[in-house]
Amino acid sequence: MTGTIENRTKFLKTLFEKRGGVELPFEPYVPISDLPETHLADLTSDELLEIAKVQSERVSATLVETTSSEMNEVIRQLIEKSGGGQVMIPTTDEFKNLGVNVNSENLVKWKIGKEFRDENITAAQNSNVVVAVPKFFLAESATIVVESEAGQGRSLHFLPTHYISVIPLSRMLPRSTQAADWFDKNKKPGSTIHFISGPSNSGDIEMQLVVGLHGPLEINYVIVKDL
Amino acid sequence: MGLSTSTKTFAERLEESKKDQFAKAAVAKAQDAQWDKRELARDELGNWQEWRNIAESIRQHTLKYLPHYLTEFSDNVAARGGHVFFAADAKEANDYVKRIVLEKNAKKIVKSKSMVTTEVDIDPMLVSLADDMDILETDLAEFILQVADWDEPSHIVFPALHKNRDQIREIFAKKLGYEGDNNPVNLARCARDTMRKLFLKSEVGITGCNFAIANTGDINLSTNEGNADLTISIPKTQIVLMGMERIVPSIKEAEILDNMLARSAVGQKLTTYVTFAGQQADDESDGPEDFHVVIVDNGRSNAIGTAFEAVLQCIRCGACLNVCPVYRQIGGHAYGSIYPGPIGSVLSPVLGGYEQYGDLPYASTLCGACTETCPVKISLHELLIEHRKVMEDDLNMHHDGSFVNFEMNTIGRGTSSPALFGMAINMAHTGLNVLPKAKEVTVEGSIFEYGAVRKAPALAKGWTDVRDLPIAPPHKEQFRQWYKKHKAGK
Repeated sequence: MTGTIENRTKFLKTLFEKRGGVELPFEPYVPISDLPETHLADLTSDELLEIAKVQSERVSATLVETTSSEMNEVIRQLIEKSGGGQVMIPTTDEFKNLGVNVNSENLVKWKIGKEFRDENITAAQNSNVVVAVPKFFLAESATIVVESEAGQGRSLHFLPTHYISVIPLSRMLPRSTQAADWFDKNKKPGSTIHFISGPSNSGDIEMQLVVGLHGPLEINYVIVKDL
Repeated sequence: MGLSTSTKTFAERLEESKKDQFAKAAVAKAQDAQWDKRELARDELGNWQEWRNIAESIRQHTLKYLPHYLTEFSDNVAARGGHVFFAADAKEANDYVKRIVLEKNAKKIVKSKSMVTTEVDIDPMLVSLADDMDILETDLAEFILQVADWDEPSHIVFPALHKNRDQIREIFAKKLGYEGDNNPVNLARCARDTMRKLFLKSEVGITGCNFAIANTGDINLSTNEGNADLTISIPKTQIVLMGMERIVPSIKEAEILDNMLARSAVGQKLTTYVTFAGQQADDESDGPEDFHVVIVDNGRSNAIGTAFEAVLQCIRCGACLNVCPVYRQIGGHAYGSIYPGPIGSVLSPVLGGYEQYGDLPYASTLCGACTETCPVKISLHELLIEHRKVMEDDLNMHHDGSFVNFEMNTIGRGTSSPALFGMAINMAHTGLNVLPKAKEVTVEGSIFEYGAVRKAPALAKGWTDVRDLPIAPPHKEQFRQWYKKHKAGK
């Protein structure tokens, strides 16, 4: 599958001429400092979790600590607190591998296959709650990082009203630098990466913070400390 | 609208701005609030100057090798089945978007906030394509402006800063049938419900691009509302418009700039949503099946190879607006450009020329606050001086029979002759005293000890329109006389 490129030669010729007809031999970017990699990198897991707790409050997210044995009960309670209704989950191996079991009478899964586009979007829109597992959790900014795949589409993370993220503590990183570095080396071709820090919000009306606009109105981080 | 937001002269726009007290107060409030948030976010990060150096090095490197990165990016988009169109100007960009929308026979289009789509004036073109065309600006502020009959933005990050909650409630009531109060939470819920319905029916999504990732062909978007994420998820076709300079080598450099952007724009560590996306992957069921990127020059190349190249380092955080004393006084609309404030005063003449935007480089006190706050270290105040040099020395603008030329010549002669300068200083007290006064003698020792002029003509009019002009002391009380009198040993 190859797309198209139009007008590039003419466009780049203009840039070449503006540079006085001089083409510089290319040299890749060499970072001038290791500050991004070293910032917060020497903190322990406990110290990072403390940072994450403070930051979660600042981004209007609810952070709950639990263990793998209590995890499913915590999820059940959060679904109930969110008002129940339809719950959407991804179709990935993550839930099975981590022992996540979402108990709901009204459970829908993101279906695999292009033919389910409309069905998946409609199901996400009709879901009151979504439960998902992130690739990483960033302590500094209290951010979950999710990567789209066949069993977990883009809109799964944005259309439901309430979001429950089940986070194995082992997936916590100091900050976005480490996540970006990982994706730079390991990103699946064509996947979409979402860094999500709390519920959607806006300050567009008289600079007053309003939590909940296009995306979920509420987000819960369930930190599973022994996973 | 395009780059220009007004057909009026700069002086006329200033007069209008002076009358809009709400907008003025809103700008002051925004600047103060953003100051606290921004500085806190930067302090928490620590080593801010080193971070600025890193960000500057990334932007300078990318601009240096811009043709290489544009080639790499477009190759990667195409390799994944996407389409890239290089647009020399606004017309070419519009024509391409028009072609795609007509090919798709699309009538329902959602847009997420993008300065470049405003710059190339895409909305009127889209509206003109069909009577039943549904265009939706999905950023809350842009949505408010659209509902308010496409009002013009007044800030890069907070475009509806000039509208208060009562005005918004009234607009929503009239146009959307909203019956609630003026609480921003309720107004936002109304907007959410209205927009969600249209999102679900949307056929084409149009976004801007914070940064294009050269080595993957992804685009990087930062929002707090999540509208960009819905725009890249639901419609089957996505069209991205990006300024040609908005590109980085990889996600690693984008991540650094996203951090700098969020801290500088809104005082956050990251914006709520930071997304890297492109053409739908083979195994994905949502996202764009058809992905187009329009890379826009539209005057940007005027800066390449000149002193103004550094302006292309800009990451559109708006921090320079939020510290600018002139922006605080005159607000966004006075600039007459969709890019207001210090960055707009440098960028607008580059994109649109001096004939239309030549006044803007003078809308500055040259205090340098913009330069100090810029996360990518653009020497904005020096570029403002550079624009003035180009206009006055290279292009000889204002070197004609204009009153400005007469004034500047007079001042030039007066200040370069000790005799004339001394005479002017001696006459200042008497001369200013004949003008209408606002204050008589006030507190001894204050700058208003000899009163203040309320209304002055010519060059000084701009000053007295907004504040009192202190009257100079009488000749015998002036510093030089005072110094002679009090000099040690006398």
